[in-house]
Amino acid sequence: MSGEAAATTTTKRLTPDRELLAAVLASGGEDLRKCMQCATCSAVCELADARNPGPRKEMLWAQWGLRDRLMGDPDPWLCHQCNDCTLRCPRSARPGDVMAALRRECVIHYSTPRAFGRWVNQPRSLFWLLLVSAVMLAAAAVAWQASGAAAVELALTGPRTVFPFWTWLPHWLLGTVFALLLACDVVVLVMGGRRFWRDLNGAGPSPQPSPRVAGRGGESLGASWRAALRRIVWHEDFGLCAQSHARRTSHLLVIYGTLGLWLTSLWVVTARWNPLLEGLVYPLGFWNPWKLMANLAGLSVVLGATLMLLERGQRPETAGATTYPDIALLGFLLLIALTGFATELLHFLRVEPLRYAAYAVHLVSVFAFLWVLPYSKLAHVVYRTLALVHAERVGRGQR
Amino acid sequence: MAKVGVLICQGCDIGSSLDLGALEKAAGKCEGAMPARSVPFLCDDAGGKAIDETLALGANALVIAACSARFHTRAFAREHCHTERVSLRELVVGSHAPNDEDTQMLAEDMLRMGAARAARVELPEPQPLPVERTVLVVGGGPSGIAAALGAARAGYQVVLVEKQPELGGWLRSWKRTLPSRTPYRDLEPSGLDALLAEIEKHPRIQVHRNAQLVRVSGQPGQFEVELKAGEQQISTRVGAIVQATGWKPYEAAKLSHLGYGCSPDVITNMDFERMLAAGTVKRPSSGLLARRIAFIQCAGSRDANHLAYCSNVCCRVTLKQALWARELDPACETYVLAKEIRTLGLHEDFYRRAQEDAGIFITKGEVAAVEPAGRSLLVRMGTSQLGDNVELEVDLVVLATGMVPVAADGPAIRELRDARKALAKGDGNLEVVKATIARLEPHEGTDILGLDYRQGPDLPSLEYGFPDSHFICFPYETRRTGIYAAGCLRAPGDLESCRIDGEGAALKAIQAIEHSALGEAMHPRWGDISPPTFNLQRCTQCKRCTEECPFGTLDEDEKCTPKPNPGRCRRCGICLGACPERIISYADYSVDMVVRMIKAVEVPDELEEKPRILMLLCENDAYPALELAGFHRLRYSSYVRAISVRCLGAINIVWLSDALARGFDGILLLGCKPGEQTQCHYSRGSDLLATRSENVKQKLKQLALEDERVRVEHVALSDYLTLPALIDGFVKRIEDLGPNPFKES
Repeated sequence: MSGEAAATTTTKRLTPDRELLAAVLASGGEDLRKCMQCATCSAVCELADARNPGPRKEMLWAQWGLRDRLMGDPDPWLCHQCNDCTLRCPRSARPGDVMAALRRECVIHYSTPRAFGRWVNQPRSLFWLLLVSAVMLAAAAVAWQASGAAAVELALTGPRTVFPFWTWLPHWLLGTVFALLLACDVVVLVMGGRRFWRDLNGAGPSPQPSPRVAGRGGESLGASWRAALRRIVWHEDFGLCAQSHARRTSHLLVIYGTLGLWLTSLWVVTARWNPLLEGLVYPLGFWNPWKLMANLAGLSVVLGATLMLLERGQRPETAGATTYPDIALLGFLLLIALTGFATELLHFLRVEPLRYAAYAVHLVSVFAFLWVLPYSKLAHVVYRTLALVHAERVGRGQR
Repeated sequence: MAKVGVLICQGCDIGSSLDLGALEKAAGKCEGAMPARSVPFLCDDAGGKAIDETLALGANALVIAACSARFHTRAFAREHCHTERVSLRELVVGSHAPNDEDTQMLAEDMLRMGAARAARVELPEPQPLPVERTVLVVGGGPSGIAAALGAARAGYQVVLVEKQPELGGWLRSWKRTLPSRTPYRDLEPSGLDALLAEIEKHPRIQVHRNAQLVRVSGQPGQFEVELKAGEQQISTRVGAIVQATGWKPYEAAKLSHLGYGCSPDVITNMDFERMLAAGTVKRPSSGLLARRIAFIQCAGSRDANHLAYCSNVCCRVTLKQALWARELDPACETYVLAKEIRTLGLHEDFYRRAQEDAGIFITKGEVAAVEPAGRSLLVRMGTSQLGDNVELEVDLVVLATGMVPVAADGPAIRELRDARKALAKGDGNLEVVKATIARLEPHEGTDILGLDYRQGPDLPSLEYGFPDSHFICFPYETRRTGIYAAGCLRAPGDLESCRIDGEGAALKAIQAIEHSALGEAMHPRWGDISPPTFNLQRCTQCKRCTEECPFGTLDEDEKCTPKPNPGRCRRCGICLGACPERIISYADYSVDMVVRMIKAVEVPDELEEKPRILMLLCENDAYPALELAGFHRLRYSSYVRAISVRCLGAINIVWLSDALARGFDGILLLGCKPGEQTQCHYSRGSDLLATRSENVKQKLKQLALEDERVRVEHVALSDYLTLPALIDGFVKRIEDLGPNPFKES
């Protein structure tokens, strides 16, 4: 090595983090240790970067528990877990599942508070989550009634077409509380996203060199965002995988269905104040375009999530390991959509008092989901998008 | 001289490709030959009857002109009668145009050569030896124990000699060993006690502890052994010897580039094994627990400056030690830094087992430096899979050092002693003698076997200082007949391979004894009962035979006259090739015999423009390769005349000058590869020919002949596909050179 080169190189200290290693092993990456670094995975991966290919390097880093390298690494987020690597791995080390485990660990790593993030990603949290959500909603309803606030609210807003149940917790109150909770979620996600972005660009405490190649990369931030969003809109990366094409369809169904439901919910929350919606009175008729969209979106989520569950159940070898966070996200989406439909149907048929029970379950599941949203698998919306933007920035856009 | 019966087979296209009448006529004209006879098939009942009828007519030697000697060997053999095989099928019909003038000439020449040889072969009488059915095992480690038990269980007496006060070797200090059976996951107890108990109570095993060999003389079946056990002098007779003197660790002091010596916390795998056996892993510097342990693999191995080879077990030993250390202290972390992990055979499963342990971190990397840093050590890797210029902070560094065979280089010791004598007497160039002494000084006092052999007191060493003779084909063989190398002396290995080696070498030793009892040679000329005879009246005491014999067969008297030990002889014929006086011959292979074969070829005169090329082919690979070419019907020039010789080293130079004088235009010598990685079945033959052919070139120059007329080429059995092109290339070159000027015209 020449003196000049020696002067510019810095020696990096390896500090194995057995906690990270244990977390990966415990959450679907239990075959990680079998890797012998043959690089078959990198050779078969359609999305691997030719200059610094994964998942081989991630396998070794994970075996060594090198948290600082893995957390600022875009590659696990560029992976769509088509499991080409897992199917071809001669040692059955399941690199695809390890990449998924790394993504889960990344979500927890960048979440605040981290301990809560780790806790809610364990199955034993589910019972407590639902219980606390139900108790809180029930307590709020009782308090609303007992304190006389309900009577005041009725007197102030005057007579309206209300269903008796809604006097327990009026729509606007629910909307406000949920919106506040969602705002907290967004704050947690933004904080995590900012730290992830800093690590991606090697500026933070976890430097991660991103090789730039002459003539490629160095795109402006805006252009990178546009390119990344284009990749997301049509899910082109899914199409590159040799093993599972079906997931492209089901993921598209779920992503656009969820988007539709969010939009409807936002409309519901803002209806009272939204001048654009003047004249439209809640509740909506069946043929109202918003109602139609909500119903179609809900159907889309149910269909997509069911397809995903079927894929996981019937083709575990290509779908990869199914862990609690996977089931939790699909479960919440299905629960929210199905209880929504149930409420709608029972309400339409005026089935007393089941329609209130269904609605209560619907509300509890939405409430519970809002608690865990930034720590759940749904956080990939932020991290994967940022990783895609980063990839465009450094010239790792789609070929 | 024998009365030769000639039988020609017409089967396998021979009859339809050659003029049999002319062939019979040519054979009939040979010296000592009876009228030749051709039959439709020699290998059927009628053919067998024809052979017997020929013998009934008074023939006492046979020429069977049919297929290669590799076919129907027994069917064509008759008792008290030499059978000379001329492979018309492979060497004539298979490779040359049918019903062609040149093919016919080739066939007739081959028949004449076969008849000339058959006429001269004498039938050797087997010379049985009274043998001692006892195996001497030198070294009481795992391999020695396996050899002793193996030989004893097979019913042979065993004398087991161990230098240390107790048997067991390194195994005494291994508390736990690698898994030896499926599923190859768990460490095992060494099992030494059971082995020692079996040795102890075995009635046929006699153990000498604290013992060393003083002198070994004689030959297989009849070795005289003197040894010293403690203060006691013991003399005994044994039939064969297994040397299993094992290994020693490579000197860590030479590994300062890996930090050895920079801190007491840099230790070897041998030191670490002792720590593990003691039950705690502490830093030698402070006595604190070592919680971060780095293993540096290939410490001084696969390194041109140290041991160039892979010691094969260090990776597995490291995995064993890492698992053991983790078991003793689950809080500790172990880092394995390797060129790559080599776990042979089913021990791959053991590697998988170690990988499962989340406290064992493995990566490829080249360690650049190990430096003390406060109370810890820093291991720097220049390049690694984890990136370039990375470092690890650890408490303890374990260097996985390799194995060095405990062997002595017999010829080097002999050379050193000769040089010492010359210095004392003031003989020769004293500068050279002093340089020799300085070069060989490290061999002083290294003797192990104390062989009373002309070529030195121990086995000659081959590559990397291991005494194994020919790694691929003949495991356990050494270049001293009846003495076999086993265990890590032969090649680095684990306990299982030591056990297999010990038993394998014991079986070789038993074979040696039994073949000696019948007066037969050992590998590769199994069953050869004709030892060389020396016409000593004409010996000039030039010492070439005694020095060049690869097996140390010949001793010398005071005047340097060779003293044969037929039991040690492998029948390679290298002495016959070496002897300038041509006084060495075998009953079925002699200088004269080959000269007569050469002279049996009818060399056409210059005007005919039919060159003749003599090919001398080593019988081990080159000759079978030529037969294979014929078997596969590959064509080559029919101007060549092939003679099988025992080894390239068994070619006497007189054959070359005779052939040139006879009018041959070129000579092609085909045999095994020489050099470091020699493929020679007798280790030295190809190398010796290389030296001798320099003399031939000189001679050709004196005769004003182009030195290109004699060429040596190296051919393996698998080269039969390219052999025809090689031959044709040489023939073309000779045609370009023009005819031999000594040819009759």
